Amino acid sequence: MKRIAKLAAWHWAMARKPFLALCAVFAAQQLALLLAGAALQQNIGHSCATLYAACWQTPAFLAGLAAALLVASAGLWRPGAARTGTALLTLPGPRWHLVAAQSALCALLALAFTAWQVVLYAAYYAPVTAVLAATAGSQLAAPAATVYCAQMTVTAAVQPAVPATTLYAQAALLPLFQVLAPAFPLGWAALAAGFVCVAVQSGCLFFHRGWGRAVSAALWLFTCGAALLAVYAAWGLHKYAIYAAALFAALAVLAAALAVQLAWTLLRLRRGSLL
Amino acid sequence: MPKQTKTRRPYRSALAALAAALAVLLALTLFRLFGWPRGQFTFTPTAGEAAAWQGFTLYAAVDAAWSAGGPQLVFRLQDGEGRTCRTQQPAEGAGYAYAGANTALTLPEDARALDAQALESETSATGGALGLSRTWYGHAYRVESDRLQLTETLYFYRGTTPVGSLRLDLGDVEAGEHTALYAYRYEPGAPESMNRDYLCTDATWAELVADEEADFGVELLSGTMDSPVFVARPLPGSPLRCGLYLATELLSKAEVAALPAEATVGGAPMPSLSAPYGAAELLCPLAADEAVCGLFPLDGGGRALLTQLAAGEFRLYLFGADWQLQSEQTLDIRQQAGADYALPQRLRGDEIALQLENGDLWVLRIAGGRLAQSACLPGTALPQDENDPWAAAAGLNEQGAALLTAHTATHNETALQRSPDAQDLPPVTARVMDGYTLRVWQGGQCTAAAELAVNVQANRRGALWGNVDQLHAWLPAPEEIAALRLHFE
Repeated sequence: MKRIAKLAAWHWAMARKPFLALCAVFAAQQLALLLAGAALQQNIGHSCATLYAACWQTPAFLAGLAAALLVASAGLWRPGAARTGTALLTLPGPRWHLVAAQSALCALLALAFTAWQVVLYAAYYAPVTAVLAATAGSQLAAPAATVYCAQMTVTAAVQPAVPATTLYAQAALLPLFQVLAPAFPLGWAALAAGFVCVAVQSGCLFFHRGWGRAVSAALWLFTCGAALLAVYAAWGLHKYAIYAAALFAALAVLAAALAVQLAWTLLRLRRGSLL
Repeated sequence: MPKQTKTRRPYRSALAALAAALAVLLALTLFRLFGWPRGQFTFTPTAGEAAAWQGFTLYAAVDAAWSAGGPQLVFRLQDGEGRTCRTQQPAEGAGYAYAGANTALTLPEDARALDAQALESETSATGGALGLSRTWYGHAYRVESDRLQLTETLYFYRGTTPVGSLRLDLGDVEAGEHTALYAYRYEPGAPESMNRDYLCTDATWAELVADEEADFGVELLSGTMDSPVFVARPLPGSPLRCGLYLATELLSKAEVAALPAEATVGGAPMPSLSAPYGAAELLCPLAADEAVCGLFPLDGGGRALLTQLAAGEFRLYLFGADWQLQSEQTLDIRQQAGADYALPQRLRGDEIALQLENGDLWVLRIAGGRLAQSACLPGTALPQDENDPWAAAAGLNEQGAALLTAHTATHNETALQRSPDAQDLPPVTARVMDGYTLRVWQGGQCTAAAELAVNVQANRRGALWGNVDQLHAWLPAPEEIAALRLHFE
């Protein structure tokens, strides 16, 4: 166990900088898109949670998460990886420790990236809401209202108030957070299953080289899709009592893909034909 | 002295990253569980003594958008003391959530001999898609009958799962001389559903019995969908009596398909569309012109059926948990038949509230299978809104000495709309709910009043998508108002 943790920690040291860069880029694009989106007239009426979806931040988060999983293996794919690999293979101890350490690191980076998104959302809530309110205020200001009232001789005030909202409401309304912090046991189970499978798949990915890596990457992508489906199906099953078959199918695919990837990677590692 | 070398300890930062990530995710979960906004309800007595609220226990539940699928906010008002808490939404019972009826005009059993004289013609039907379409050939049969059988098939669903169906023979209808019925028989291999017994599609039963004085057919009662109950109003000559029925035998689709083919089409056997199947038990007979006002589930599993007779009196039938008729009585409440009445939301599981057109509000309390108490508040202006079933409510207190009425307090909000291309659209006005106005009545006098303010609009409005009718999206849709429900314990 200690050896696995040590290996993971050394790989963390190698992946830290690219991971921090990824976090910075992600934070910058999210801030830019949310603020720009909030300032657009066509987005009047959006709240922070709906604007997040309207600005494509859900796929952006998923892409960032996938990038974080790949960045976790920076020690294996950056220049000099062949030497690192050779050094790894000459280390004493069972070789499955290598896969376990890499998977643990993938899990750590996935958790850290998710937490980063939570922090960003909390941090961006105030400025984004302020810009949304300001845009609504400026766009709905007197001219249009006056002109219209004159035509229709409407005497009542038609200036609408921008609805008040809270961070709680906006956090609870965001589908991403509903999935990441589910309020029901089935959601936690699907999330944990998907998370573990994706982490292990990502951990195996960069031990392969050449065509092996292409096959491994295909399995990895397949697993990511199935994990998404599992989480979504669990949410649908909880909320609307649908997608039960999809949930079981996704979990079966996850388990099968994991078994194939693990068996194949460990077999090749044992033969020393990797890296 | 040996030179100190700096040791790299990647452990530390890795563990710190892990701890920070877990802490943030835990914080998100805890925030979602416990960070719900307080102060969603405000109970403000505006008149009367605090003692007037003794004996009333009231719950107001809000399905705020952010609690969708999760726990809901509940406000509990007991003896004038209010408290907000969060509860899990009650799981949906395994009741009969849905029932549907299919009315058909078929060939009566005793007119089956007409099949021998049926006019036969070729027909074909094409099914399938994506290059896999297929055409089946068969025969259409046409007979003319001046008498048709009114058949009602009822389908019951538990949740979305079909439970079974039941077919009733509601009697014969006199039709015009040349009313045609068509049947189809396709070549072997065609889907079974394409073959069909004689059915009249040229006329509807409503047209045929339009000159009759009373209504005929089947009325599905949505008041208690935990049992497959319905009111059948047969035509003269039907084996059924007019009354409230409980379906006792429902056949599944497979069982219906396995029924013996009792009809003949073109001389060959075919499943009949007119032969009744399943069974239903008559719970209580009703007069043909007796209108059903409502069927209410009672505490302890019983049910109450409220009807209005043609003469204008209201009648109450009380059933036990096993649908045994316990009592029936004509109430001392009457108004002209056809006059409007409303059923305000009842606040207790053992009460029924009824508001007449003249404004009289009646609350009937039922105990031990009998009408135990009734209270009338004459000329109450309890506003009713047919679009909002929760708009008004009424109930007695524990002792039955005082009556509480609740109705929604609203104001209108007007807002501009602007389309995405900056065109001004007509302003929209929507009713925005503020909460409930509560009043306690004793001896016809209002002894206490209070406002129960509900501050959920902001959250609910935030939940809506707004792209086309942007500002419209900020106003609560009518159905949101229905999300607030009041009830006694």
